[in-house]
Amino acid sequence: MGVTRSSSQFPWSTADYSLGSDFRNIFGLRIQSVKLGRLSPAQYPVLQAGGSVTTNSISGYFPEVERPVLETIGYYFGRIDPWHVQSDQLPGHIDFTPTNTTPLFIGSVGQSMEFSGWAKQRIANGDTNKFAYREEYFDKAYRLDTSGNPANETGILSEYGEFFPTEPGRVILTTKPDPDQGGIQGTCLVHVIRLSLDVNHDSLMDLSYTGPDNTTAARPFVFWANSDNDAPAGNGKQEHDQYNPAMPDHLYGQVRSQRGLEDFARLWITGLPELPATQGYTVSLALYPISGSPAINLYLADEFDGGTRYLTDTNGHQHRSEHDHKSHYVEGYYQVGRRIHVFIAHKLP
Amino acid sequence: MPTSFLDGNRKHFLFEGADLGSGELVLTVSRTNGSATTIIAQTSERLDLRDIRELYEQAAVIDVIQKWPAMVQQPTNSNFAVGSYATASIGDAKQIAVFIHGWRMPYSEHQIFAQTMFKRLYWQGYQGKFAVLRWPTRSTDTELFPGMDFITYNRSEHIAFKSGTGAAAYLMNLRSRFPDYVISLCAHSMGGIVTMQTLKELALGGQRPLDNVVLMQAAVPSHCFDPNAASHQLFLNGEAEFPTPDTYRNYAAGVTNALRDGGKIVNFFNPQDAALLAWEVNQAFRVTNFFGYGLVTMKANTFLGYYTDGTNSVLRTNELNQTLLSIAYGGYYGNRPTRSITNVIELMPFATRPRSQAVGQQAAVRGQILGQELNLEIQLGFTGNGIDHSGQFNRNIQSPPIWPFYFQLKTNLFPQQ
Repeated sequence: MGVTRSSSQFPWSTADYSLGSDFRNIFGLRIQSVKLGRLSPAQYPVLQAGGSVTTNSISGYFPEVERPVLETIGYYFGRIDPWHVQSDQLPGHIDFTPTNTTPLFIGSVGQSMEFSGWAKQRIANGDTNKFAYREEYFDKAYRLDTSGNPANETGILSEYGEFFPTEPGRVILTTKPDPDQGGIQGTCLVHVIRLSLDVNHDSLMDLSYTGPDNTTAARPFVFWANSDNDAPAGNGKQEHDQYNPAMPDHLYGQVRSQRGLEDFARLWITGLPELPATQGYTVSLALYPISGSPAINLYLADEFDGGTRYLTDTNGHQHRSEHDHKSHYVEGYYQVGRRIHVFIAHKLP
Repeated sequence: MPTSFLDGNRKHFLFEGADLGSGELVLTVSRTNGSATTIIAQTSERLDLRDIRELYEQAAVIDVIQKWPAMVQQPTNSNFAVGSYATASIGDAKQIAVFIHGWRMPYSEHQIFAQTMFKRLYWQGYQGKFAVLRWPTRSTDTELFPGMDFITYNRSEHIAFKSGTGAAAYLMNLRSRFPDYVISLCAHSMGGIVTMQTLKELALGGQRPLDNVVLMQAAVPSHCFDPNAASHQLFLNGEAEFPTPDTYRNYAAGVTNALRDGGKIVNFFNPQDAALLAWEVNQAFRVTNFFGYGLVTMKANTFLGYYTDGTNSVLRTNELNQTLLSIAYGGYYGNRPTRSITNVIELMPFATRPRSQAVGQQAAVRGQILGQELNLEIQLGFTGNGIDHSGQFNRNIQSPPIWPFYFQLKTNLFPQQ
């Protein structure tokens, strides 16, 4: 701690003790003084920085360190797994290092998440390569608009970082303003995903958690299997629904006619961030049966906005140009359909 | 195909049900690092994929004789049977839409029409229940040879009248099961005859199970509902040459008494409807000398032995209804005594001619309909093409008139309170 002793004899022999004028501890903070502990008689002479004291029988040293001046230079967030299985490394953890950056957070509508937020602080009057982490209280959750600006408050967020997403999209969780740092707040970006169906078939996809397009076990999305036979035009006939129970449309694995599109429902995946495959990310869909053997054929929709023109507009499919004659209604990749059925997860795309 | 599927944009899919059952559709985002794969997030929705026939109720009018002359000789009261009840619901609105089909619908086609209407109401956001009532029209299901179904119109109209009792019983059954629902009915073409007769019998019995009725391209003379509707010169010409009783006029008097308070009958009509123009031909048909047999009309059905002088109507043996050809047309009548025809539901299909066009092609029908109407040609773009008599079923859902048609249908069946 920067105290030097003039004699190397026994600790109880008289010696000169001195303290350098700018000695700093491991955090780079200046040691301002050291209180020396003398046993008999009990005395506590103080050794000032740059000063010296002559005494004996010193058995303890009690340094006074310059008060650190902390400056927040960023924030770190980690996700806490209530079951402690997949929690992120947090400050204080043996494996945590100051080079750690906030990981990508993906949650889903209706599923609670728990976060821990930390202000990363530089020691302005000390070693600027060493950092302090101060855990923060959370303040509010905002949905970001397409420009990345906070739009409206969303979800339910506790001060302790418990967050319940209620709509998909990009959400920031803010920490409480820090009055010592000019009121700055940390922001934690969370990508909230959901599958969306037009459950009440009103043409509107309500993405909210409490809206009419949510499903539950008691209120699933009820739809019919595509078991009619909507024949394409030909042989002088227009497209028509023909009675052919032996060959239901879903067996063809393609959209055979514009007429048949009324047997298709929309499915959106909302809120997914960019997930480079090179970083090991995969997205998959699976249909787990509860009763029977449900299965769907999945097609990437042609409409850029996932709208209902496939039901309302004879030209609804013609706003793109790269299709061949078989894929007028759905984008090429899923032209032949992709059967999503019992337990088998299908990687997308 | 996008260069990168996981590009941060919302993904849009269409899907079709490919097998039946309920399940949980689960989206999983995971990340593989070395040999370890970690689930990052999951989200799911519940699906319940059904045979469409599980989503609506199927009932049928029964106990109606389909063969002539038994159909007019044996008094019967039709009844109904529910073939299947809906086992799943597409919503929780307390509404029931009942559909009654038209003439010459074999079972398979009746299913297609019913399912097409169900789907299109579904896409309009309809949240209520749906029921289809089949009545035993003659069709390819009943005829010996293809094409013979086209000469079953008059007999089918008689069957339609006979089906009224069973249809009325079914509607009362629906009302008893769903006492606090809005129950409305739509009928297509000759289904209008079934509906008119049903309403008439309900009203006469003081029963009011229905809320609203939409007649779609109804093959029912306008005079039934409105005795003051415009007469049609083609028929007046026929009457001048070959008079028949004016039996249709005001036949539907009082049918709105079968509707609950605020209920109404709405007429979806198309002045250019090709099938109803053909209906006119059938109603007006007359040949002054048919291979030496003298004046022959299809309406009155001379082939079957029906004759009328405008006041007195009879069914009698003739040269036509004792030939093998008569079997193809209707049935072998045999050498029977001449019978006076007084029953109006025998008179109307077989012996009398309307004086007005059909409701389904005529504007401004008042009386029981009060002028509540939708002009399918002017307002929606239906045409005189033959497919448009059933355009709401035959056209693709994307066809411009179809979306507004079903919007109007839903709105008129279930007006906003």
